[in-house]
Amino acid sequence: MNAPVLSARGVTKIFGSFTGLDGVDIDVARGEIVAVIGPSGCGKSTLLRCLVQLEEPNSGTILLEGQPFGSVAADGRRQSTRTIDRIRPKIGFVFQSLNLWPHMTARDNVAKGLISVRRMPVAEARERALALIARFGLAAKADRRPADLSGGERQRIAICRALAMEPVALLFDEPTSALDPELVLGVRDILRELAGTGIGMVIATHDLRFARAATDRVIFLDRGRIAEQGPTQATLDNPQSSRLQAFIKSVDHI
Amino acid sequence: MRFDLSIIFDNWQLFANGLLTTLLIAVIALPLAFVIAIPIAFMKLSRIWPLRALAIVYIEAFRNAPFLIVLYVIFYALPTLHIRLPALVVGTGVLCLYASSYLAEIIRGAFLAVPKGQLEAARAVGMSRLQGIVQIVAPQMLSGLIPPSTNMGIILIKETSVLALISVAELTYQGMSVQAATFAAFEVFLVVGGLYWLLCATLSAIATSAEKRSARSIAGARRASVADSFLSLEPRGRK
Amino acid sequence: MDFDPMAMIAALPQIGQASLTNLWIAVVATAIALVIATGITVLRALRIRVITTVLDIVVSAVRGTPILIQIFLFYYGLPTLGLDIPPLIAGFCAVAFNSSMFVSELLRGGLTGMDRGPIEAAVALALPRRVIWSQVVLPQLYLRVLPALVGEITMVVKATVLLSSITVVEALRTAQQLASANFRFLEMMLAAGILLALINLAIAFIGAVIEGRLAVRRG
Repeated sequence: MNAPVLSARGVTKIFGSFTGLDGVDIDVARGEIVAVIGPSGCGKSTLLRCLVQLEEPNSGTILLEGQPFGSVAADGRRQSTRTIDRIRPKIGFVFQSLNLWPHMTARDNVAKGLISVRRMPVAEARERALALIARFGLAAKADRRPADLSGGERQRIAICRALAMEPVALLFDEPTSALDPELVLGVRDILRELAGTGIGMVIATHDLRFARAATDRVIFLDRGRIAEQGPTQATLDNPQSSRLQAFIKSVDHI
Repeated sequence: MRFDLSIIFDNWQLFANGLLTTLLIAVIALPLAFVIAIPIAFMKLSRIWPLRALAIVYIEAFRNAPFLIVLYVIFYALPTLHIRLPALVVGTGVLCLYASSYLAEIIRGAFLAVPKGQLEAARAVGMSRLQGIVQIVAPQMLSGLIPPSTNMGIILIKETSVLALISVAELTYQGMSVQAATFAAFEVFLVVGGLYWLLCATLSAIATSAEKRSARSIAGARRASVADSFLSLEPRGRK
Repeated sequence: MDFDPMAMIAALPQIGQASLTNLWIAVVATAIALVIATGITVLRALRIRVITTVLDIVVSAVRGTPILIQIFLFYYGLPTLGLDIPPLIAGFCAVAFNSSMFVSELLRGGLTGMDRGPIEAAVALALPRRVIWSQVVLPQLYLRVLPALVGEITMVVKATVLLSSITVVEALRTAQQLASANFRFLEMMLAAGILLALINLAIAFIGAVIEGRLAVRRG
């Protein structure tokens, strides 16, 4: 059995008087695609941001390839910022708004991490970036700025940017929300291909049809807690908890 | 009323010296103020509240107290600390601090104008917060900094005239002394004013060209309406 | 360091009273500036090239030269024309005139962002110019620039201390007079500085409250 590539226990995040996440556990195996679904405000984005330590969880442990990330396993103290910064790129993050850097070309966006963090020579980094971009069929647009790319193209560049750092896991925050419907299946294909290379993925999404088509397992979050989880098809076809039943019903009415 | 420009020509050396001194003060004070403003801006942005508090006190003190009085306070405080400096140095220094308080707010504004996600994306690929700010956010701040900073430069040039009141021999001081000798107030102060205006206009022109070069702005062109013509903000017909 | 807090505190009442002079000069000057600036705005709208050019030159000249020079022009220059005016009036006029140019630019900025709808409706109804201005444009405009106007008052308060150089008795001049008697220059200046800063902070606070009330009403 595969040891999970990304594993979290008891992740809790409190914002003032509001509990965003309450003791969430999650395991992602190599090559597995896990969907996190739930109504707005349920904590999907918060969970992803905590997993990659863009938010500091109030409590909980996160293990990346079995090694602690964010806190020292023994006494729960937080790792140094430098250590966290060093480990962070091993979990790639694709933002909902992509956050491509507008003043740089697509190629430079992808190469930037290699140059600034890995201290790779610029020429080599740009070569690698071009190769990655070409894998996604965008070689011709490598020297364009993000503003000159379509939404789908920008997303692929954002994925390249994360992949350039050779992550073992990838997190996607609402990958289909800004895309035209016909591009959604394209995203599914990309995810499948990435899973084939052994990367474990977590997708926060409100799009249940996309979750069905693209993911292996689904976790349903309700107000910061896991209300139900299981294999995607089975769980969505036969929701056990009343909360999930209500959620699916409310979404299907659109 | 007689307008005797010969008074100006007779004293041209004094005016020239004054103008050069004013220029010197401005050229030193503005860049220095910028350098001082950067840490203050980030202190005000910091999550550590004592740093934030210090920055706020600094900024609010200079923004609410009249510059001349701050100048006098520091001017009179230095000797009690056994520091003896020429008025020119004190004046330039205080002007520098004064400008830095405004520039700190300008820098802070430009920083906050860059979307938060830009820095987060930098951290997501492994850059430290500092790397992200310097390599990703700062380049995007530049175009937003040019208009308010040059505006500050113009304000600074005008504010140098206050240094005349602590006997710094800049342009206004020279004007005052020529006026005291000749009583030709209009000639003297109109010319002096004109020289200041030239300095400000030059800076403004440099700023406009720098802004044009750096701005990649997607100007939202609003449809011209009848109301615009009424208020005379846009010409009727072709532009 | 030779500093006497008691001397500073003892001077507060007298300097405080004098600083009220700074305050009222600023408030009245800004009010007059608003009137003049409104006139400039309406004149601009007439689009008579000569007038607009003259206005542009005057506004640019006043905004591009130090206010101290303008104060000196009024104080030292007017007597050469045979006008014998007390320092306070000369200084007041200089400050009001200066402020009116800046306020005119504030109004100009406020105009570009205004809601076009009501004006279009008024023009379509062929209402007389005077009515459109006084009933539709100006009320809306003044409300829009109110926060910036409050900011302008604080700027003018700071400018009024320059009137000390033309013998007007306000806070700074009073501080200088006291200092020449007790030789406590630093303490007197600090007293004046603190008082004027407090006045400006109070004005800014009032402005924020007004802005809050207006936002509630509009929102």
